[in-house]
Order: sequence, then structure tokens, then C-alpha cells
Amino acid sequence: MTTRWIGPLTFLIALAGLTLGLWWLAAPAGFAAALVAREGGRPFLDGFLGGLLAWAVVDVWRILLWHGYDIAWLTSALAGLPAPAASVFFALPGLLAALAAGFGALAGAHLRSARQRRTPARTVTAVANAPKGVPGE
Amino acid sequence: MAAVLCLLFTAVMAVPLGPLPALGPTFNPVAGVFSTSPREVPERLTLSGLHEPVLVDEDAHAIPHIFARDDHDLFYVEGYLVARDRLVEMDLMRRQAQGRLAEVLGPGAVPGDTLQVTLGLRRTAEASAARLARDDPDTYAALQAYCDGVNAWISQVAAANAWDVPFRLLGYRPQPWTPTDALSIQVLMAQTLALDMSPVARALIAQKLGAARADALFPTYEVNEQKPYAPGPYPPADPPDTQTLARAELDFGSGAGVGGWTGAGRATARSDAKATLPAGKGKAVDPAQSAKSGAAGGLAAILEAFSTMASSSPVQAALQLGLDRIGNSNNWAVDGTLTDTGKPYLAGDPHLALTLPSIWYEAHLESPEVHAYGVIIPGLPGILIGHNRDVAWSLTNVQNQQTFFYSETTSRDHPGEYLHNGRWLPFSVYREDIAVKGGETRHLEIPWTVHGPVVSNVPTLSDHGFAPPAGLTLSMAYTGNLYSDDLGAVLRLVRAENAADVKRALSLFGSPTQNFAYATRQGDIGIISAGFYPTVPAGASPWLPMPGTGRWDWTGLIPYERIPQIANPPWHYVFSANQREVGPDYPYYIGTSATGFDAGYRARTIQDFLADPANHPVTREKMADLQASDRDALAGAMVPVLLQAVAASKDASADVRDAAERLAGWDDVMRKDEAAPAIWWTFLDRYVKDTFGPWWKAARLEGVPDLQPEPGGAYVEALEAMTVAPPGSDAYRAVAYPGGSDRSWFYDPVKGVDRTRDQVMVQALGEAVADLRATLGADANAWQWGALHHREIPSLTGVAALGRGPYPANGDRFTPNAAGGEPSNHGPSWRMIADLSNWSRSWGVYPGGELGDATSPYYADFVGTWLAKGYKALPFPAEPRTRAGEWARRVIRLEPGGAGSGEGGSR
Repeated sequence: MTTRWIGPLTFLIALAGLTLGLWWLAAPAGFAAALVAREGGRPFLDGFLGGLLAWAVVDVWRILLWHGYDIAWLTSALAGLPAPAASVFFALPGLLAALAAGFGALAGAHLRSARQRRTPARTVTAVANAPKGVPGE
Repeated sequence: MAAVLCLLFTAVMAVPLGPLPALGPTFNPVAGVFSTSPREVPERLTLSGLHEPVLVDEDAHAIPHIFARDDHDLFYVEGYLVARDRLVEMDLMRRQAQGRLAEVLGPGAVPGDTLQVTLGLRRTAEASAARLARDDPDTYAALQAYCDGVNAWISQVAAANAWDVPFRLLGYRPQPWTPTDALSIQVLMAQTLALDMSPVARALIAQKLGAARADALFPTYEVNEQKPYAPGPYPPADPPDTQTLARAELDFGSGAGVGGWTGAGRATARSDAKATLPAGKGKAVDPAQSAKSGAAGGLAAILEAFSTMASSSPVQAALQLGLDRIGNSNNWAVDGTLTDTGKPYLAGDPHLALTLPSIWYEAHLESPEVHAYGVIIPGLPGILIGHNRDVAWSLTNVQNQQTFFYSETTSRDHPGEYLHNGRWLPFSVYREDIAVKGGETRHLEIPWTVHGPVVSNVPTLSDHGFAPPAGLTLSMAYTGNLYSDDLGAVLRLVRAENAADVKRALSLFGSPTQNFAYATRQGDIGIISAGFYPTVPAGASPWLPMPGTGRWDWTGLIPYERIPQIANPPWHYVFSANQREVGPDYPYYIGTSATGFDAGYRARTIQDFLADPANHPVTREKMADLQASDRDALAGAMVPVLLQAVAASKDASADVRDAAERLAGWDDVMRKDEAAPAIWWTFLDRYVKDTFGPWWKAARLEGVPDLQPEPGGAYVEALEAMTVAPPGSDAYRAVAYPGGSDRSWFYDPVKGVDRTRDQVMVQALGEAVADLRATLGADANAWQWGALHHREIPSLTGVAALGRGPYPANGDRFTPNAAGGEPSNHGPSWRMIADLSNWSRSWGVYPGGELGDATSPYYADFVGTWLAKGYKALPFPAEPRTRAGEWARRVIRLEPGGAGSGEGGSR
């Protein structure tokens, strides 16, 4: 799987999490997506955009079809906050989730790199330690 | 590092931040607050609790017209729909009644909860529910069906995790609705309309100003002109009704609510006497002494504590938990002799706290036995104000004395006991808990005597810095703690077919006492002031705290046949506006001018209008004009005298004479865009304060809450009597010189200056002009009443953004279109004109909307119409529409069976 899949994978996993009520799944989504992708690319940006898009898609769906902005306004009013806070209620959680996803992807990429760095070493060691007569792999 | 940041951002979303709940779970766009779906109501639905299919037509204002095949289904669906539209409001009201607001709002609500628990509302509701099941099973069955309907909605919301935003933000889920909860709403309304602290307030005034002045200011019968709706003659008094009182005693407390009455047939046996008072042993505290001396600070502390506790949370403040009973209302009926249709009209506008959502829920109920349209308080079944196919009715508050105070005798030799009928009785102590969100549970011990709860040692007195009033043990006997089958009365009223049915139904009504005006298709009209009227022995002074020794306990109730009422008077109309219902010859005591009877100006305007042949025949439009009237009858009485005083004065400035000229050209109508109403009201405020203020200051009564001279109640009654009567006349001297004193109320005891009435009036007008110049500018042509006076409809939550207003407003507290207070957030909470010639020509409106969801277009859609004094039609079809069209915006089909599922539709 190439690095360009980090974003879409993060998006899909985060979206599935949101649908199931697992809002915190954005971070593991970024992490997991980066972990399974190949080396290279921009894991933070891809994870960030994937997570952000997942929230944005559902936010827009809520706003357009489920009077979501009205509810955000009501929530801000009941919390004693000014009306513009309603927009923040959409933007801020999505942004934080996206940041979590981005850093999750970065963490995943680091782990993957570390594993990849360790993997050739183990291969060399395995070859060195292989019983004679056994073909190395 | 990346992993740490990842976890950090996730954690930030998982924990609450200041006033904000945790962002992640709360604003998850799928499962957070946005999953609230108040507008997503299925148009086809199966409900397991139904017997038969039910059709609900919703009109253009989302008002449900429910067509059921039996009463069970009717009330079940009523409960279901009211919960759908008003569940948050219902939950807040039951919590307020039961003293459970702190459980969800936190420590700030503890004082208010303590007050409710101390007064026994929770226990009264619980005991009443148990009694209702036993004594009135049909009503209980209807109530249970209603509760089941509410709970069907709650279950659906729980299954869909679609809780209203307030529940999510406060982090709790509403518990199932029970008959106790419904009756909690009833006792809450009783508290709003029947509980008053005036005996305590008056005792304090008497101590400070002297008994003579207090008696003159708060006479048993008002000193100004009154318009009793039942002017007599009256039959002689019958003996007190003890049977009804015995039936009304609830099975808790030592005489809960029966005022210490010890007659036969009581539900609670008095076996708790411990010992008789040995002659000459022990030192009892003389209640008379305690009332004279050490009690003064105690009385002030009680008043202040109650005032503080009653306004301790936004919900309580918004509902204006009644300690001064500002609840006012109008109703009247005109028989066919005087109307254009030959059939009666009935008009009603109950004046209550104006809130969003409203205190009222509008509905049309149809079953084989019930055909009713009107409004009900969310949480209770039926129709409280409205009409059926034969009868229309509306309510106003009677304002008779329903709260009595007793000063109990205690002794250091008898700790934990009080003296009653010569025996030392132990206080009955009830332990109550108040759960507090974010705090420790408060454990309260509430002592009761045979009279009722002890209110002088409310636990939160010390919490709020008030010293417990030493030497004073004051208990409260209150009709709101009696068993009152108001719901049974209302559910019989909605089935009434004639005046006799109305009278039978209202015999069950107890507390709060209400003036039920009614009109029937047969042409009858009348008013019955239904409810409890406690009687006390001759010689008692119930307008003050009375000694609790047993001598002055309640002796029963005024018999139902003798309570104020009238039917088909020869003048062809009936009316009530909280004025004293009966004249001075009425043979029973029902309260003094201090206990809340209105000063009578709305009643004057209404009667003047209805009696005026120029207004006959009465039409629906004329009824609406009267309901919207902004005429101030007190101005009509006082302004001519003021003008004479200014004309005769040598001290009146040019500004004062200019103001007088403006008043001279005024027609006593409080219009928002005119200067004269602003001058009048500012003058009246100054006149009251200039007259009584120096006496209050000299007596050190300043600063005691709810006790200051104001343009209302007994103060304006006395002032009107002193103003319209010629100085020197007997009528003038009787009021102006209390108890034959040589100092009139116009004397200034602070400065030691004698003043004439006219001097005070001119002085007050001068001060009013100065006030207006300071407030509205020097140009009197630009002054407008609406710049000073506003209407406001606050949210129950106290959140400004969810309320409406302020709007510049017509009217004042004396106009039929009642608009007292500044801002005025109390007034006509429902205006209705019932046309008995054709029900569908009836009109109604309330200042709100049918849904409690502030994001809905039906949250406040009636406010504009109400502000403009308009109405909306009240369609009353006999048959349902099975498809949307004409007046029915949509049709909801409810089918029996299943577990409550549905499909489609948006709201």
C-alpha cells in the first residue's frame, strides 16, 4: 500500500468511528493508516487531512440536513457563550481530531520506519546465523 | 513526541473545558448533541400502550388535535405529545417542586431546594398520589395513562440516544414520569398562587409602625371602591365544614396542612403527646412576647431568607415562585341577552410569569366522552382553561388567605417539644436529603408541629449568613399541603354538559382557590370561587402569626355552598380580576387587603365596559378590545385631584404645570408612544414613596425585601381613599389618621414636618418631572411610556439569547392588559375568547410557541401575534382529517402494538 493511502485510510476509519460514536478513533486511524503504508510521503499532513475531512463531511451533513447549526447555536447559548461559538463547535473538535490523527499518523510512520530499519538488520543476522548448507533468504 | 501530541489532543477532547462539556463526545457530529432530533417525529408510529389507533392532526402552529377511541388512549397520546414537545420544561418543573434542582444544577440551587423540601411539597405530592389512587380511581387511571404516554416518549428517546441538548449539557437523563411528578406540578402551581408570607410581613410592619397604622393600612375590607362580583345579599354563615377538612388531611405530618384542627374524623391520630405541662413547672415562651420582642429580627430574617431562596436558581426566578402572589388574571362571561349572537361569550386571560417555553400547552382532545380545546400545564392531563362542546371556562386566582402562621410555645425545660392544648408535644422530624451535583449531599431535618412545617429555622438561613431567629418558632399551616383533587375536578369539568355539572366538578377543587368563570350553550353564566377557605375562631387575628397554643387553630372550611359564587345575575355578566369576590356583609373571613386581593382597578374597567349600554350588543371584537384595554382606572380617579392640587398650588414650577397640562389632555390609557402615561406612572411611584417612605425610614423598615411601599396593593388602596376623599371628611380621616392619631400619613416623621395631601402630590409631580428629564431628556415632547416600560419573555433557563424582548410596551399593573413590573415579565399568559354560538369562531393566543426546542420555528411563533394583541383561530373540528390539508398541516397515525417505532416525517 503506497503512502498516498494514509489520507483515505485515515478518513475511512475516522468516519466509521464517528458513525459508531467512537469520536476518538481519528487518532488510531491516522496511526494505523501510516503503519500499514509504505515509507515516504507526508504522514502528518495526510493523517490531518483525512481526519479533518471525516469530521467535515459529517458536519456538513448535519448542518445541511439536520439543522446542526441551530443545535450548535442552542448549545453555545445554554453554555453561556456568544453566538459565534456555534461555528467553533463545528470547527474546533474537527481540528483537534485532525491534529490527533495527523500526529497519530506521524507516530505510525515513525514506528513503521523504526520497524523497517530493524527488519533488514534481523535479516542480515538471520543469514549470518543460518546453519551452513541452508540457503539464506 | 508525535505519539504524545496525538494523545494530548485526544485527551483535550475528552475532558470538560471550563463551561464547555468535553468536546469530543459532545460535538461528535453523529452521536453528540447533533443527534438530538426534535424535529424528526414519525408520521406513522406504533405504541405498545395504545388500545386502538389514534389520529393526531397538527395545525399550522404544531398544535395537536388528538382523536382517540377511548379516554385511556386520549390521555396516553396527550402525555406522549407533551413530552415530545416539552420534556425539558416538565423535568425542570418537577425538580423545582420536589427540591431536586441542585441534583442537576449544582450548589447554587440548594437554597431553593431547601425551601421546597422544608415546605413539604415533595411529601405532599407523594401522599396525594397515593390518596388519588384510592379515592378517585378514574382520575388516577387517566393520570397513569398520561404518565405512560410520557414514558413511551422517554423510552423512544433513550433508544435512539436523541436526548434534548439541555439533558446532554447537564449530563443527566430524565427519569420516568410518575403520578407523583404530575401532582408535583399541581402543588407547584398551588405554591405560586396560594403561598404568601403576608402575615409575617404585616407582623413586622405592626411591630415597627404600631398596630394602629398596620391595621389602617391593611384593613380586613379594602378602603377604596371595590367591585365584588358577588355583591350579596348573602345567607347567614353555616357552621364550618369539618368533613371536607378531615378528608383533605394527608397521611403524613402531625396535622399536615389542617392548621392544628383536632376535630373528629381526622386521618392522622394524635397519639404523640408525651406529657402534660405540670402546673407551675417549666418556663414556657409566651408567643405573644416573642411576637413583640425577639421576633422582629426573626421575622425580617425569615422574609429575607425566603426571598433569597425563592430566587436562587434561574428556573425559580423565571417562574417567579410566589411569595408575594403577584398572580393576577381576568375572566368574564356575558350571557346571550347582551351579545350579538344571542349566545354567551366567555373571555379569560390568566396572568402568570411569561416564559419560553410557556407555562401553557395548547391541545384539542377528542374521544367518545371528551371533546375539549384549550391549554394545560405540561405534565398534567386534560384541559385546564378552554371549552368543550357545551361549556367554556377560565380561571383567576381568588387571593383568599390560604397560608396561616403560628408562633409555637417552646421551653428550655422541654427541648424538642412545643406546647399545644396544654400538652407538650414532640416535633415530628422528617429527614430529607438534597443531592448536589459537584457537592456533598445535604441532610436536612425538618420539624413539623400540628400546624405544619416549622419555617423559622430553615437550615439555609445559616448557610446564607442569616442568624436563626432566636426565640421564635414559627410554623406554617398551608392549604397547599392538603389533599386536593384538582385534577379530578378538571377532568370532570372537561366532560361537563351544563352549569350543574360545573358546580359538581368544582366541589372537588381545593388548592389553589380559583375563580372559575363559566358559560354554557344553554345560556347560563356564572363564577364559582372553588377551593379551600380555612376558618378560625372568632377573635382570632389570622393576618398575623397567631399563638400556636391551640386556641386559634383552624375550625374547618367554609362550606362549598357558602363560598363566593354567582350564577345568572340580572345584570347579565360576571367578571373577576382578583378583586375581593364578596362585599363587606359576607359572613366569613377570607383574608385582608394584605393577603393579595387586587386593588380593583382592572375589575372597575371591566365592569364599566360591560355595564355600558354603548358597548351592547357585545361582540367578539369588543371582548377582544376589553381584554387588550390599557385603561388605568386609578389614573382616572387620581389625576383630576392632582390637577386641582397643581392649579391651587403657589409652589408649582413651570415644568410641573406643563406636566399637569399633558395629564389634563390624557384619557387614562397607558400607550407606549405617549408622554402622559410616563408622567402618570412616575408621579404615582413618587407619590406612594413620598407618603409612606418617611414612615418606613423612621421605623427602620427600609431594606426589608418585599416590604417596601410600592404602587400596588394596599398602599394604593389607602392612597386612593385619601386622595379622592375631601380632606377633613370622615372617609379621609378614617384612613389618613390611623387609630385616631393626630399625625396623618402625610406627616413626615423623619423631618418632623406636617404636610398636606396636596403639597405631597405637587412635590411628587415635581420629582417625577425631574426623574423624567434625567431619564428621557429635557424635551417633554419626546417622552414616551415605552421608553420606560418594556415587556420581556425570559427563557426558563435564564439564558438571555433564548428569551424574547425587551419590547416597548403599553399598559401597567392596573390595566386589564396587565403589564406590571419593569421589565414586565408577568401578564396575560393565555388570552382566550370563547364564542358559544360557534366554537370555531373562538380565539386564543399565548406568548410563546408549542415546542420547547429553541431551534424550532414553533418555539416562539405566537409572540408577535400576542404582542400585537392579536389572536389565532382555535379550530375545533368534530372529525379528524385523515390527510394533510386545510387547517391540518400534517397527520400522525399512532397504532397499537410494537415497542414504539416509526418512520419518516420532519417537523
